Amino acid sequence: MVRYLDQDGELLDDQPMSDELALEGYRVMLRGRRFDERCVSLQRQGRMVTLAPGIGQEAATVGAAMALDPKTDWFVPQYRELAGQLWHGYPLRLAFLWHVGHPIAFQVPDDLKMLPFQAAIAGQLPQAVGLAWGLRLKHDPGVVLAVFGDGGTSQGDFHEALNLAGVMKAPVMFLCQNNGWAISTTVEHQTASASLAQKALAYGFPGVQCDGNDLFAVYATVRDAVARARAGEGPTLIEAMTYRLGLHTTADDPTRYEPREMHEMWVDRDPLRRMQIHLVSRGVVDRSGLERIEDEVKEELRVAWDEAQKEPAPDPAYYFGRAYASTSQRLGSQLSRFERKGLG
Amino acid sequence: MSKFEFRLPDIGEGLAEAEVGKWLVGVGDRVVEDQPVVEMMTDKAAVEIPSPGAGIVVEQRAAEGDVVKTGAVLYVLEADQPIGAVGHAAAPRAEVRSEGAAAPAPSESGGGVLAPPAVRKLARELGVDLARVKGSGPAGRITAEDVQRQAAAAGAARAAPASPADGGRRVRLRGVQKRMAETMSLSARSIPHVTGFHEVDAGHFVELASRLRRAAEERGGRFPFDTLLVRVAALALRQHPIFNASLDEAAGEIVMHDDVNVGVATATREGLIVPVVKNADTLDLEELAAEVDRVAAAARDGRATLADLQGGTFTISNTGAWRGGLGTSLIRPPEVAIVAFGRVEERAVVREGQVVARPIMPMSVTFDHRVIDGEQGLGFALTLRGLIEGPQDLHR
Repeated sequence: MVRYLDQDGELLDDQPMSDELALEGYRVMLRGRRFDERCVSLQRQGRMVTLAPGIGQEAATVGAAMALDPKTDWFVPQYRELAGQLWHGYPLRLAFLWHVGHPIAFQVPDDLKMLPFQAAIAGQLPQAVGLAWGLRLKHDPGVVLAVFGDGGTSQGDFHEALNLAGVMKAPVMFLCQNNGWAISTTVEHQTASASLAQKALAYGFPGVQCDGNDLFAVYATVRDAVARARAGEGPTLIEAMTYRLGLHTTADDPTRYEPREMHEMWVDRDPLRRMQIHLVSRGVVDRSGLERIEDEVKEELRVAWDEAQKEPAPDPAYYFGRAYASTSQRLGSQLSRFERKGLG
Repeated sequence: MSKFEFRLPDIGEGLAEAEVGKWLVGVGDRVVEDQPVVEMMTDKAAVEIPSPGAGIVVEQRAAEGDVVKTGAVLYVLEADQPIGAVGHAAAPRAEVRSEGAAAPAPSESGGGVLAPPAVRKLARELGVDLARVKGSGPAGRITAEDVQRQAAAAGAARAAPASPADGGRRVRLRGVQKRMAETMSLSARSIPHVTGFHEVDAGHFVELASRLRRAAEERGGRFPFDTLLVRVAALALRQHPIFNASLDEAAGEIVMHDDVNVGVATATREGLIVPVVKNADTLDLEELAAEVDRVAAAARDGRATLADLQGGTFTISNTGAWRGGLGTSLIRPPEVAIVAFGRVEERAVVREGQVVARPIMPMSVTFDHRVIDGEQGLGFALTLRGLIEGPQDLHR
């Protein structure tokens, strides 16, 4: 398993990125963490819909996103990698609107190389392969990062996507966030394989396991996979070993199935704390600097939430125009009926 | 300052109602934004509900144990800053369903009435409108005495002690107790129970149990007495598979179970819980002792998981610790039988024409007569008796 930073924040190898970049990575991880915590609170107040926090998994998603070039490379999410998407350029304001259920959050800004969130497990994987294959056909230098969870590996789409990607040598990195749980199903109940990374062997491309709570390990592993993809050598499956410290979704209560000792063991492996210890002991930032970042992040969230709340509610007619490039006859007649009679 | 009525949001997916588990903040307490105010219990989870803003909680509209509809007002916040519309605007206004709310409660027109839930309940019972009561507590908070004084003054007191028929303290059925009530009603309503009583000579059995316990303790382990009872049941169930079955009424079928999973009725502080020893017939005695010990401790400490409580195919109940004698039991549907053991005590019995003292264990075998007939019932009891009186087969 690839690892740079151990559980105690001790560096085991040369840091694979500059100190400035490491600090910036930490900041975005923190932004993701505080965003999720805030949203869980807002959901409990009735101000947000059901949501799936990524608490504990920030290193896995931010580390992977840092290995991309946002000008050319695509981020294809499931729904538990917001921290990484923030790094890639997804605005906080839209992130808040996503959890309010506003459709504008699914309208990815034109300058952003990202697909919308996907609720259907592993449904984004065949799309990511098509996207990557298409980039290759167009001699576009871009590559595609597709993110999913351990539960996703049990889906048929996972097989179809990885199989085709291997055959076509599509420039795609499959990042599996193995967070230990598919809702309440453990990985041991999910597969008889000794690891998820080893599944790549069957598809004829490399599979690598890395410490998903180590920003540097995820970054370096995905960086190498990006280099392979760009060089035309095809896909890589990366299994980032992480842990869901929060809820599956706000409709879930993990205390009903999660052994407390297991939770506590992973609290000790918290990726944020690991980075804090490393950055402070390396002299990149001091305690007061960390507090300043904390305050800045809090302020960013406040501003973004305020902006999000100003977003006007969508016109119901909006929905008719978004699903297809051109409006079908059937949808068109539904729209005109709606315009005549409203929702009644 | 502005008043904000906090309504129970849909915190699950399509949640209709939730029970107030615990107030985390009292009336008159100051809260900051995002601070948990109350813990709500849904069918799926216990969820802390944070405050949408900073301010003072001036009123709780529901007491712990009350079931609150989604959209009903949970509490009122005197907010420092106005709080904007909070989601789900379309949620219907709904009433709080409160324990013991038999008569329609007088309207509490004063939204800013400062009174803790116990006092509100008293006011409802005495027919007192809290808005008319002047509070004598801090910040005008209404106390129980205030309410009683008001009731006496208004001559409303007749409403209270004058109706002895529905007087007394009312305790809502909750949690474990509620489940017990449901399961036992279903059992008594739907199952034709037949019980046979037996007195079993437990001399050798008790000796074996003591020997095994001493051996376990020398190894630093434990050997609960129930271990041997579970073993007896498991061996007998293998010989009489009809007792290790359930009735699928809807399909009109008897389901014969492959696994022998023995539930052990366990008294806990909350009520009766039946943790299940899975595959009791396949474990060796040491494993069985460890598992019996584990599930019983988990049940007593409230740590039993759903898996520990599900999947039972048969139940035993040992009332010996409470000096229980012969008694009937109720079968846990969809199971078809249950056996209860009482306390082993020396009794005068006749052996070969002589009256002698022997340790006797009372045992009652109860079965579902829709599935099991009298002959089968006696056959099963005979096997149980044989295993207890000649326990050499239990030790392997």
